[in-house]
Amino acid sequence: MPTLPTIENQLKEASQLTNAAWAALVEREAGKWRVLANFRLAKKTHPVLVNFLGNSEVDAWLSGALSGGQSRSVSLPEPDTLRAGRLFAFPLLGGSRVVLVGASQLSSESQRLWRLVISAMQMEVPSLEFSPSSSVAASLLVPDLDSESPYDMPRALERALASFVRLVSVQGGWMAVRRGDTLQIHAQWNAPSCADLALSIDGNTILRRLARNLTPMVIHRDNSLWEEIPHKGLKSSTKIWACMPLIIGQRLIGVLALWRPTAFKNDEWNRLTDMATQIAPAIETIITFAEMAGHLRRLATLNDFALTVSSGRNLDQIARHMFALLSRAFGTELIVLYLLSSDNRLLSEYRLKEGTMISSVDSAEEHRVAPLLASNHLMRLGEIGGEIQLPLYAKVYSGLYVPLRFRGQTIGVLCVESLENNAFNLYDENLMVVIASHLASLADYTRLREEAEGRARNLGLIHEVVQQVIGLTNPHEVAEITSDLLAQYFAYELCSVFIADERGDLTIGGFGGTSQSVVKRAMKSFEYPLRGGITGHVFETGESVVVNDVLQDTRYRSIKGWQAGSEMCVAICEGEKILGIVDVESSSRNAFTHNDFIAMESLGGILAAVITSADQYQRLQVMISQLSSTQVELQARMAAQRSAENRLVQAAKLAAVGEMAAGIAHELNNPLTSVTGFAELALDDIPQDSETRKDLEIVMREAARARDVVRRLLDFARQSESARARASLNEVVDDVVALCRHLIHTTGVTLKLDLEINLPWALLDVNQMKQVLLNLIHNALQAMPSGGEMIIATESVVRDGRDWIVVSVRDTGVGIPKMDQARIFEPFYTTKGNQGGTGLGLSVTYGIITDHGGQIEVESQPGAGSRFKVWLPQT
Amino acid sequence: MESTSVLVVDDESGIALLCDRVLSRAGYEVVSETNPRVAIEDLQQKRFDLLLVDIRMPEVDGFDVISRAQMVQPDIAVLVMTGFGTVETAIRALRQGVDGLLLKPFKQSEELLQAVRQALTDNQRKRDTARVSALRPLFNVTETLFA
Repeated sequence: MPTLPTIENQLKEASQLTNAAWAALVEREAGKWRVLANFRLAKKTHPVLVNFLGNSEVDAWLSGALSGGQSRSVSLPEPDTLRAGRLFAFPLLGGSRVVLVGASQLSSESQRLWRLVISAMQMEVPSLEFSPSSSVAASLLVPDLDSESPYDMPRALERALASFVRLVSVQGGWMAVRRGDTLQIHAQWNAPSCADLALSIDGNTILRRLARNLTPMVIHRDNSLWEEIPHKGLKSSTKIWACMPLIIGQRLIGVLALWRPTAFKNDEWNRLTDMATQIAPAIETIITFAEMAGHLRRLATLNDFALTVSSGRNLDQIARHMFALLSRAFGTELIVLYLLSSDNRLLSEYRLKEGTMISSVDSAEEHRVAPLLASNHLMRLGEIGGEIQLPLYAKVYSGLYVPLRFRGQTIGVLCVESLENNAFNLYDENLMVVIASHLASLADYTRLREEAEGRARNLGLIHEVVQQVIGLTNPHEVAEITSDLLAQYFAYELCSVFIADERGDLTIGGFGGTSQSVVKRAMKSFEYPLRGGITGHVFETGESVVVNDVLQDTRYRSIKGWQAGSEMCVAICEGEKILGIVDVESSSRNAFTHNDFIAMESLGGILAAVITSADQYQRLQVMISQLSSTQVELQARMAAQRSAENRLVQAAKLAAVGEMAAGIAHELNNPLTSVTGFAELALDDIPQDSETRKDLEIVMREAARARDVVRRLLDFARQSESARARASLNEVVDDVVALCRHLIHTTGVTLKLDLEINLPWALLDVNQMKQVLLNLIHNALQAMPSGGEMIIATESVVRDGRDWIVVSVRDTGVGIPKMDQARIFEPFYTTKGNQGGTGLGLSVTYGIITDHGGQIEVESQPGAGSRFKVWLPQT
Repeated sequence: MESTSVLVVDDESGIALLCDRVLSRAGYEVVSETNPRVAIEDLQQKRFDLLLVDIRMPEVDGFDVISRAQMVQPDIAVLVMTGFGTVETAIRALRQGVDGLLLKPFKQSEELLQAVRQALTDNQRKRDTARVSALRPLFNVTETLFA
C-alpha cells in the first residue's frame, strides 16, 4: 500500500481533474466504515459521512460494490450536508476498501479516470511480493504535483528509461510510444539526436520485424541489419544495439532501445526483459493518463468556449475570448481568424499581437489564405511547406488551419500555429473542428446581425434625409443637411455632397465628417467646376464607384492634408441628367461594404428627386411671378381700355347731344330774331304810358335770354375749328386770373396759385383754354357763395406711359353730390337752374378739352369742396 | 333824294318781314322775298342799292343769289346774314365781294341798321375808288396835254 500522503495526492489530483467536490478512501472493518485518507473532506463532514455510511442501506450498497468489483453511483439524499449531489463508489479489488467521490456529476471520461486511479492503487496491495521492477512501475504512476502537467508522459517515460539504465550500464538509449504506424520517441538517454524523432514502423526492417514477432532483438555491429538501425547518434565504439517491445497482451505499445560496446550478459538480459514485461502496464497507464488529461483539457476548452460564445456580444469580443482560450489550450499565441464579408469581397483579419487583438480588413482576392478558403479542407501541418504560402507567423513548425463552414459555405478560416514541432494531434483537430463549426454559425449570426444593424442604420439615414430634406427648395441647404447626416450616421471622416448649379458646374457643396475642415480648405484652392479625380469621373459618366484602395486607382487625386484610404462616390441622376454627386471617404482601406453602396445609391435617388422638385418649384415660382405681373399689367390695360371706352361713349353722347343742340339752336335762331325784332318794333309803336309796353319788354328780355343760350350752344357746336399753337398753360392761367382777380376778390375768396416752373408748353387754342379756365373759376366761385379758398395748380405728370400737363382748380365749396358727378358734363344738365345756369358751361369745357385730346376729371366731397383736373397731352 | 332801295332775301318769312319792317321804318325802300328764285327775277327787273341775303337757304343758297345780283347789277352793295358765324363763311363772302357780314340773331334792330349803313358806305367808297382809278388814265392824258 502506498503511503497515505501519496494516496491523498492521488485523490487530490483526480478530484481536481474531474471537478469532484471531495474524495475519500474508506475501509470496512468489523462492520463499520472508517476514513483512511481524504481530499477536501472537512472535519465537520467527517462524522456525517461515517454516520451516512453506517446506514444499513448504504452499507449494503457499498458491500455490493465491493463484492461485485464494479463502481456504482447514487444520488445523495442530503446534498447540503455532504456538499455533493451524487456519490460515486470505486471499490479496490480483493479488499474491503472503497474510494468514495462526491460530485455533482462525473462524466464517463472522469469515471474512467477514477477507475484508473483505483487500479493504480491496487498494484500497491501489500499482499504482493516486493520486486524492484514493480516498485519502479509504481513510482512511475506517482504524479509529479509540482509540475504544470502532473501526468506528463515524457517525464514518466524518462524515469522509466532511467530505471533501465540504472539496471545495466549502457552508452545510450531511448523509449518510444506507439501511435498508429509510428513510434514517437519521448525519452532518450545520452542520445540527443533521437529526441522527438518519429519513426515509421513499416518503413524500417528492424521495427517491422519487432512489431511482427514481438520479441526483443539484439543486433551486432557486423550484422547486416546494423545499417537498418532507424536513428543516428551511435558511437564508433558501439557494438551492440538492442531493442525490446513493450507489450500488453499481443499489442505493441512502445519500444525500448539500448546500446553499448559489449554484449549483454545473461542475467543482465533477463533483468532487462523482466523489467520490460513488468513496466509495460504502467506505461500503458501513463499513455492513457496523458490522453485522458488531453481529452479533459479539450473538454474544458470546449466548455469554456460554449460559455464564451453565449456571452459574446459582437465578433470582436468573441474573437478575443476565443483567442485567450485557444492560447491557453494550445500554449501558443499564434492564432489568426479570417472572416469573409457577406459579399465575399472583403476579408476581416483578427490576430493577437503582444496580447491584444487587432483587426484589419483586406481584399479577399489574392489573399494568402484564399486557397485555403477555396479548398475548403482542414489542414494540419507538422512541417510547414507545400503549395499554400503558409505559415502566417514566422518560424513556426506546425499549424492547424480549419475552415469555418456554415450551411455549405466557407465563411472564414481559423488558424493556430505553434513554434513546436507536431504540436497538434488528431484530437486537437477534432476539437478545432467543433469549435470552428460553432464559431462559424456564431460568426454568421453576428455577421447577419451587424449587417442588419448596418441596413437599419442605412434606412435610418435615408429616413432622416427624407424627413429633413424633402420640401427644401434651396440646393445649398440640401447639400449641407445631407452631408451632416451622412457624417452623423456613419462616422465617416469625410462626406461631401455636390450639386450642379444652373450652368452645370458643381459649385454647390456641403461637407461633413471629422476631416471636413481640411477638405474645405483644400476646396478653396480647387477651381470650379470640379473636374478630374474620382468625383470628376463620376460626375462626367454618372457611374457610381467604390474604390477600396484609392492609392491603387489612377483616377484618384489627393488632397493636401487628407490621407484617404477608400472612397465611395455615387452620382445623383435624374434620367440621363447628372445633377450632382455624393462622395464619402475613409482613411482606412476597404471601409465600404456593398450594403453601404446600395444605401448610398438610394440616397442619390432621393436627392435627385428632391433637387428636381426644388428646381421645378423654383421655375414654377418664376412663372407665377411672371403671370402675376402680366395679370397686373393686363388689369391696368383693361382699366385704361375701359376708361377710354367710357370717354368715347361719353364723347359720342356729348357729340350727339351737341349736334342736336346746334340744330335746335339754329332752328331757334330765326324765330328768336323775329321775336326780338317784332317786339322791338311793337314797342316803338306803343305809347310810352301803355300797359302793354311792360309785357313787350318781358317778351324782349326773355327772347334775349333765349338767344344767349342759343349763342352758347352754337359756340359749343363750333369747337372743331380752333386755332392751336404751342403755348404756355401757365400764361393762360395768369391771363385769366388777371381778368377775374377783381371778381374773386369781391366774393371773399382767397386765391392760391401753385404753378410748376418750367412747365412744358402744349399745343393749345389759347382762347378756348381761357374759356375753360373761366368756366372752372366761375363754377368754383359759385360753389363758394360765402367765401373760401381756391387753388389753381399746374404740373407735368406721366400717366399710362404718356406725358401730360395738368391744370387743376380746387375749391372749398359745397361740393357735388355723388349722383351728379357722373352727369355734370352733359349739356343742359345743371344743378343751378335757379341761379340762371344753362347746363352748358361744363359741357362746352368738356368739348374743348376732348378736342385737345385731353381729359377732365372731377373729385368732389359734398360739403368739403371739389377739384376739377384738366389733363392735356404734352405733344 | 331818291330813297335807297334794299332787297331782302331770307327763306325764313319772319326774318324777311322783320328786316322789311325795320328797314322800311328807317326810310329805306324795301322789297323782301322768301324765295331766292323770285329774288333773282326781281334783280333783273329792278335796280337795288343793297342786297341783304341769308346764306343758308334750300335749293338756291345766298352765294348763288349774290353772284346773280353782281352779274346783273355790278354796283350793288351786298350784306350777308348768317346764323353760322364761321370763318369759312366769312372768307367766302369776302371773296364774293361782299360788303358786310351780319350775324344772326341780331340783338336789336339798331344792329341791323348799322350793318346796312356800313355796307352801303363801304360799297360807295369802293365804287368811288374804282371810278377814280378808271379815270386815272384820262387824268394822265389831260395832264400830259396841259403840260
